[in-house]
Amino acid sequence: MEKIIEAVNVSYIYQTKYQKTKALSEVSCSFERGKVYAITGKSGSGKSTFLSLLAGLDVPAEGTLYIEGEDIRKLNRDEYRLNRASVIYQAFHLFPLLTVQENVMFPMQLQHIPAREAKMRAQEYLKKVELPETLYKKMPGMISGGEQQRVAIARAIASGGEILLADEPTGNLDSQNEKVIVELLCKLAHEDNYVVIVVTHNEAVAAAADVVYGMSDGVLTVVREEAERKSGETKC
Amino acid sequence: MLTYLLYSLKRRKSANLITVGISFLLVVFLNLYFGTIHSYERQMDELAENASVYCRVTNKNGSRDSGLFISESVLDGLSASELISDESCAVYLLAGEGEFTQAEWEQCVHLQVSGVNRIEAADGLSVEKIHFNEEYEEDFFVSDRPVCIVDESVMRKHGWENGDRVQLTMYYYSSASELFKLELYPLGLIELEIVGSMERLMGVTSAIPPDVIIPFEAVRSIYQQHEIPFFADTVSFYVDNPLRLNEFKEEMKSIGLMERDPTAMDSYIGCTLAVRDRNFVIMATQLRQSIEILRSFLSMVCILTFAIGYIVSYLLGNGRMGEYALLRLQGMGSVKGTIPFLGEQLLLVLLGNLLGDAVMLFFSEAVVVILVNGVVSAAYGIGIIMAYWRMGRKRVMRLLAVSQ
Repeated sequence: MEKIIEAVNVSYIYQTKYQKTKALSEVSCSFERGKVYAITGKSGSGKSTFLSLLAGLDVPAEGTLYIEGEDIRKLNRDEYRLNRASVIYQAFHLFPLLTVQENVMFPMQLQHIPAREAKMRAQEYLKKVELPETLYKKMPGMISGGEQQRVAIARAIASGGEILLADEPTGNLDSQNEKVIVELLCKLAHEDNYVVIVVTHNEAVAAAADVVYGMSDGVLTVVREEAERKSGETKC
Repeated sequence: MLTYLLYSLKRRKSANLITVGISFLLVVFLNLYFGTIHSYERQMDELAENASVYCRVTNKNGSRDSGLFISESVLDGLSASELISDESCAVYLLAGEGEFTQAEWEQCVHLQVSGVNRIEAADGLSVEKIHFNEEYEEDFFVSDRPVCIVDESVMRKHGWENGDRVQLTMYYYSSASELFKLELYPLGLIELEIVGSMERLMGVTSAIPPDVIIPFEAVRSIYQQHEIPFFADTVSFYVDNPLRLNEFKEEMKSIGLMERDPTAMDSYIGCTLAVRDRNFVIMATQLRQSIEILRSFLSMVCILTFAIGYIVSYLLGNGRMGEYALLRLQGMGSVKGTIPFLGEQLLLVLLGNLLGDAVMLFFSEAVVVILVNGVVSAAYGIGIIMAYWRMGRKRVMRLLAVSQ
């Protein structure tokens, strides 16, 4: 499999006027297309910070993060998020002023795709995440959490990137919706060749991942390689 | 960006209405503020035109303002001044018809003669009371020719007619060495042409009305012909621009007109100027103080406008940090990410401004409305831009962590 992201000795420090906190300490790992990765760990262990670095929201203090072999520092990180990497969050983070369909169209409009085509594609993506058509014109505040997260996934797909980053995507969902979302993420990796990286506390989500990393005090360790999947666990 | 801005304009109606309302109220407030200053300034200008400052030459202690000896140097200085207007000068003489000896003067001298340079200089005289021969109507008072207008009753008594040439022996007042004792001296036999008649003047003051009026410059010429030093009896005028009152007073001093000294001895020398500027000074001082007080708030008003622009935008921006973070997350740069919010805010402020302008144009002058727009654009606009510049500096990671 092709390595799409590679972290080499990545460290990150949160610095304020009064204190410095090392959030990541010499993290080295790699991510390949077509796989679901889970990063587990306690709150404050640094997993969300790592995900933010993967999303290009900041650059490592030390070490290097390569995106398809290119140092992220040298990339235009706004363009990287626009075209190659998308993030979904526990709080869904949909545009409150846009309808469900407009939310999904938004990244395509930023890419200057004509409105008519963007609309057609948005509807396709919404179908793909199995969102009922009756909800397309609703505002995000009027649909359930599970539905909102599906819209967020559809919007992530709409940007056309191959990297999907998810920060506690099922944190606000019930078990039924959690299952739907996990299945969706697995499908994107295994059928559409995305690299899906999920930060989670949730054992069930981690169990569905191909590779599981653990994060503790900013140090990343491999919890389970793909080949070590237990006999009872099924690949989703 | 534009799409997001349009959706935001369309779907945040209440918040947008409040922004427009604040901008509208700010424009109204600034119009009232600048309008009041402008109104006071205009009143000040009008005050200079309407509340005229009257001046009259008096003697040193201010007890006499007529029958004085006002020197030619003072008259020439006043004529040359650009700071005075409507100067009225008069000189009083006595006369008798025909030629007679000095010993006979008490029997023969019974005509009161005035030399005036304008109609207002003769007490009680008005255009309606004078009946000129047509050719003299326009320039009688500014003429230096030996012409006169005569009281109708005097004309009847002497059997004079319009157009007659009459000979008068004139006597003038002169000051004795003590300066306050008056004596009469013969001026000479003068031939005058009667160019008009006047109705009997019933003066407003107790002064004896003139029987004969001669142009002031004509009298002055007669004095020059007889090589007698000329003095005017009364001189009064108005300050042309009362706003230049201090400059005017300095010039009057340089001409030789001093300030009144109540302790000085009585005399007939016209060397002092009585300036009736009390009302003007009171009104001008009040207006000036009002303008100064209002202007002293100008910097505070500008800071307040800036602060409103900044605080309103800061609060609105704070409420939309989540949206900003999302835009950044979608791949918009820090500047691009703030543009929808900044653009929206500027559009709404512009709308509020235009509404305010439209309303205030009924009450304010265009110049005030333009000034207000300038202040709002500068102070309020800078406030908005600074608030959104701060927004653009926020770290997306932190914003997202907060909203998680």
